[in-house]
Amino acid sequence: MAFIDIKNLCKSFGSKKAVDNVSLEIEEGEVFGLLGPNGAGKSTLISMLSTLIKPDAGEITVGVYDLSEKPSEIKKFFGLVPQEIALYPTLTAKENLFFWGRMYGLGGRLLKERVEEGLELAGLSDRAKDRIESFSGGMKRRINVAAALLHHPRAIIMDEPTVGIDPQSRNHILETVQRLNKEGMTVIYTSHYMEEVELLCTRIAIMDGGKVIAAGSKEELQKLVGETETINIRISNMSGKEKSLIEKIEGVESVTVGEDKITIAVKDADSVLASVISQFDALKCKIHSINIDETNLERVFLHLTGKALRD
Amino acid sequence: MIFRIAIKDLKIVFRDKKALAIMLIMPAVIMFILGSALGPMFEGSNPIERFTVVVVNKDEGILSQVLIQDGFRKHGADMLNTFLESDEEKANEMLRSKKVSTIVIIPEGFTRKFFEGYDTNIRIKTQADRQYNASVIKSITEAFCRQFYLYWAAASSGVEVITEIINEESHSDENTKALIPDITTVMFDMQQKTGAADIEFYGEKDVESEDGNKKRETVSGMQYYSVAMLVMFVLFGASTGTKLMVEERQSNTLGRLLTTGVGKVKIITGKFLGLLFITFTQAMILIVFTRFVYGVDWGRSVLGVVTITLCIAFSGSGLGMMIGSMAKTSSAAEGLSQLFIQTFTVIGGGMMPLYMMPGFLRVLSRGTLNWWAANGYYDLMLGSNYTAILPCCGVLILMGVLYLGVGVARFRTQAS
Repeated sequence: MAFIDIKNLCKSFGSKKAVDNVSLEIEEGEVFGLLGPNGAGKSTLISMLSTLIKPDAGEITVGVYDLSEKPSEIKKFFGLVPQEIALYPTLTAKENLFFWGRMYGLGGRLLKERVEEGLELAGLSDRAKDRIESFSGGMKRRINVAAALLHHPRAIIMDEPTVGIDPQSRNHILETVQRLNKEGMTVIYTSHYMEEVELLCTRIAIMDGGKVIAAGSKEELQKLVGETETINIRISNMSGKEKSLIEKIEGVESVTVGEDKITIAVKDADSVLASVISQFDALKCKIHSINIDETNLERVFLHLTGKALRD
Repeated sequence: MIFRIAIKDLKIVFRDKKALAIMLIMPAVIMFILGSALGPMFEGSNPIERFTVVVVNKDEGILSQVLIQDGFRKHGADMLNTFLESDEEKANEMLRSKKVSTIVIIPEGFTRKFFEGYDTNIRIKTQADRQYNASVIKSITEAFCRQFYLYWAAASSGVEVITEIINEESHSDENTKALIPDITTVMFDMQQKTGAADIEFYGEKDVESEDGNKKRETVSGMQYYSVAMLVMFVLFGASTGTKLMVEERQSNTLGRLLTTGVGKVKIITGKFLGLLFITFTQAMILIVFTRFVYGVDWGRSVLGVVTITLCIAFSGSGLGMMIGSMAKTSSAAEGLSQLFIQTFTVIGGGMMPLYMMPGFLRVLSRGTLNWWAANGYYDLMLGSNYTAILPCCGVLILMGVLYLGVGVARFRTQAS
């Protein structure tokens, strides 16, 4: 039996189905990724898992506990890193960690040790007495993660933990996730950055429109696309006719047009590239860069939904 | 857990310089400005509503009859409903059972003593919370006595003049002028004699309330506005906590709290306790500050001041919880708080004394926290003891429970 077993989970807000009949199994000790664009239903799924909102239908079992019957037991298993910086800006880093530690039921010497450990994990021991409001976005995110680990949970749920931060802090968080997982912690990681999910996750579920449209290891998901490649072209002076004309070229499987970018899924990039360039030339478009990607999750998502992950 | 949440909120608010300025510096400044500028409004003012007075007339002379008919029933008709009761014990019982707020006892020999120039010893008894009534009765009685004395003195002088004219038969204009007393002299004489026959209140010169304490008659402008602004800014203090609560929901720290295993009841209690700490601390700082810097007399009962302050902090915090549960954003919380606080302050007599307001507003004012809290403080300032403020405290607690109930119900629904 899986550590976390989600069956036929549904949640609607008014007429909008935020999570639509989702079933997933997450094993203990794995890094499980939830990938999808904004509004795909990842945060709603996570909110239900962390007992913040009640599902309309379906079941969640964690360990031996049913979430609808023993939510307080299940809360002990998890540490939640919310998408927002859920900290008190006018309290210091240390005060914040002490507060959250107490809320997790810690006290005395153990609490003190865990707070020191948290500050070290965030790489901010030297800034312990500074207020959170004086920190950069990345530093806040690191404390946000540390606060969820104070009670040494069996699983950590991280909801878009790297949104809007500097590369240094992003790397720090990604390394933290890898380290925690090596120590045996189960990680549920949501993001719309497919590079992060590809790097960290052993298994991935791709969500769109409240549904899980595919789930499996990276390799299993790539197989869904087949032997296709992606040509990414940065371009300006587009006329609006590009998509329909490029789609007519033989060997082109799909075309996605962004603001200044066109993504073309093809079977063999070398055989169509010349035709694509000449077509843009004929349309008097200005090409700034071209690069060819191997199969990745972005392409898997494009293949499954017909749209880019960050649309 | 509950205390940790409350202390955390207290820490956050007292680190917020803007909030501190609104909660402590602004009220201190406004108290001073309003108290100094509008203080004269309170000099000799008559901030009361029409009330019922029962008169026990033990005098058999004419003066007491004229006082009741002409003084109380005719000239005092705008302010008094006057009833007669022959049995003093029955009148006392009516006062004790709060059927009437004020009784007046005209002693035996009142008329005789007045004309002989002795103290007349009228006694006025009033409920502890109706301290102004006694001053109204006193004013009417004094005014009546002065006027009566003037007529009497003039009439006596007139008789003397005529008698002199008849007896002397020969006279000149100069003689007549010398015999007719100067009206200024009569007025002066009247003032002196009325003063000599001054109306003595039961329990010396102060008005005796039923709880046996000597009370002053009115509060000063500085006292009035210190109380009014204290109550208003305690509500602003609560609104600062309310804003914090809404911000917690927006930043998802509340969501995070809910995932830690701390139950909803503990979170709600902690938040409420936090608001209570904030508002109570703020109010006590302001009371101590105004006492020692502005010299505001908050009364002799420290226990009473602490109790009524706790009660207004409680009800204000309840109101804060209710507003916090109604608002979705911090700006909405701020707007709603302003609406509630300013309406309550104006209706509750925080901006201008209630007696200057139309009748329907005076009735409405009793639905505000401000009215009950302010009356509790005023009673203490006027010399009442701890027990006199208990009705005000009871109403404040009741209002607080009501607001808190609405807030908790809405908060629980939202958290679900």
